[in-house]
Amino acid sequence: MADKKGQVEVTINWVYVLIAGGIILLFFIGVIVKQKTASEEGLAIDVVRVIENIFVGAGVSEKTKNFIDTSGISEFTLYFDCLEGVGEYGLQGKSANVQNIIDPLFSSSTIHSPKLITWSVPYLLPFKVTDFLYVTAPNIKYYLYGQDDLIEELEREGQEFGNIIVLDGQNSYMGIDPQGNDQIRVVDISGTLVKDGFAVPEKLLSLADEKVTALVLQGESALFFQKEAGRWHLLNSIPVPIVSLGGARDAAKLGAVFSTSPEQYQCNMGKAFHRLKNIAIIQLARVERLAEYYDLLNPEGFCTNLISHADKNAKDTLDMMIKLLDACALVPEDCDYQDYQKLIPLSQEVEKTNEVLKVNCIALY
Amino acid sequence: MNIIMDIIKSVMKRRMAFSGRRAQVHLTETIAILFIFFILVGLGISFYGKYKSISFVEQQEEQLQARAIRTTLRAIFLPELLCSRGSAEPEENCMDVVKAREFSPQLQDQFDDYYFEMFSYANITLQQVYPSLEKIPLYVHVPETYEQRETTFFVMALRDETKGERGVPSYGFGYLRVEVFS
Repeated sequence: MADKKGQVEVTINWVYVLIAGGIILLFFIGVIVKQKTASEEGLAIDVVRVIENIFVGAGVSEKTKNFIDTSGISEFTLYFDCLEGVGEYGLQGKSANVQNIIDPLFSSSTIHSPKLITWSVPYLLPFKVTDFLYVTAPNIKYYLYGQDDLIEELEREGQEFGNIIVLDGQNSYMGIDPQGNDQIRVVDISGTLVKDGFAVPEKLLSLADEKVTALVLQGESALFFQKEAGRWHLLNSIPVPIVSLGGARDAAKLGAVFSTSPEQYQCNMGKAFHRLKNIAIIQLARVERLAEYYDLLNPEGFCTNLISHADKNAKDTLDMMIKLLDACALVPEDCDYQDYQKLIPLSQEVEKTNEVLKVNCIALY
Repeated sequence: MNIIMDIIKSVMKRRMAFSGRRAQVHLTETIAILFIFFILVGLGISFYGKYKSISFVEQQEEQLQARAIRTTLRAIFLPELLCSRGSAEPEENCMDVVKAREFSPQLQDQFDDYYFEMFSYANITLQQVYPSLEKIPLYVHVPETYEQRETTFFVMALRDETKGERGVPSYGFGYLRVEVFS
């Protein structure tokens, strides 16, 4: 009887130990799993924060090129998006991201690379509005075709990047080989290589559709293409106007080169137009102070006339610029992106006035 | 026979008493072990909590410092205030005083949205030291209560074209004071 009781007691003891041990083990496993998830999210937050700091640094100082080693997070894919004036970037599949309504950032929709390249170029209309930041990677290859200053400039500037190749004809275009690169982008200035429904070079068929994109720059407008079922598919039925004053380092044109979607491009340009409005407000206030200064000095003088009395004077032109941008900001539905083209003649007018003013008067900018 | 039976009974009684005592000792042992175990777990949790709270404070400080750097960078390179030179690169570390005086009055209505996105809770002031003392508040958005504050200073050249002689701008100097709060 005592033996049997002892056996039962020992068995119960063991079962008790097993259950208690199991619960304790499960508790610690739970803690470890929770910690792992938390540390992965923490890492994603840290990475995104570091990238944000790098982008802010790269974006504020103009004409800088940076090469960022991202080999530590090379298994992750970075995504870049911009919708209704809000830019967003982060690691795909992770909740950590950065949203930004200020800085225009032009890039592919996704980047999967152990290295990032950033390049900042000032956007002038005609005074400096902001610095455009272009983000790319060595494994995103840009094939350029056509005779244009932009192509020469990109070839020259892009030598350091190592991902810009100039095509010398139709044959080299048809022979484009992805060679293990992540993405291919064709920039056609001639408008002869890429057209809606034209066949995509054969070797590019192995890449996913969203990894093969093209841009056709014709005059002052841009057409965005993407591969679809082996053919080029036009993404924007209405050409997207390039709102710039042209010349060397055309930031708006470069933005189109580095953006893979027309929506992302227009969204980032929208950020620049918002900033332009604020800068134009400050410029107008400054012009008013200059007008007061010259009114005291010589009310009938040449400088006063150009600033506030002449036909197309600086004050009126800046005021028109602000009104145009205000109208678009207040009722965006009534303002088509094409309307921003009206900024070009106004900017040219400000530029012209500034050229005359800076000879004998205080310059506008 | 009765004597033998009595002896057996007394042995059994003693044995039962002994086994009851052993069970009591066993139970006390188990309770003691559990007590020590939970004390150790409690200590572990409290140490971990302490470590986490310290590292959280450190992280907050790091974040505030990073934000201070970002805010200062953005303020120094504000296109609204820079000393432009036509289409050429603007003058480095220089602010246009005429523009700076207009910044806050003209753009105040956007301090709660657009510029808040840029600077968050901060107090940015341009202090002119030469040729005259002048304090120009650029952006003031101080929270009612805050735990930490980080202040940075940056020396700037200050250009005022309305003070110069015949198109030659007048230069002064001062500093940009950037305070960020969390």
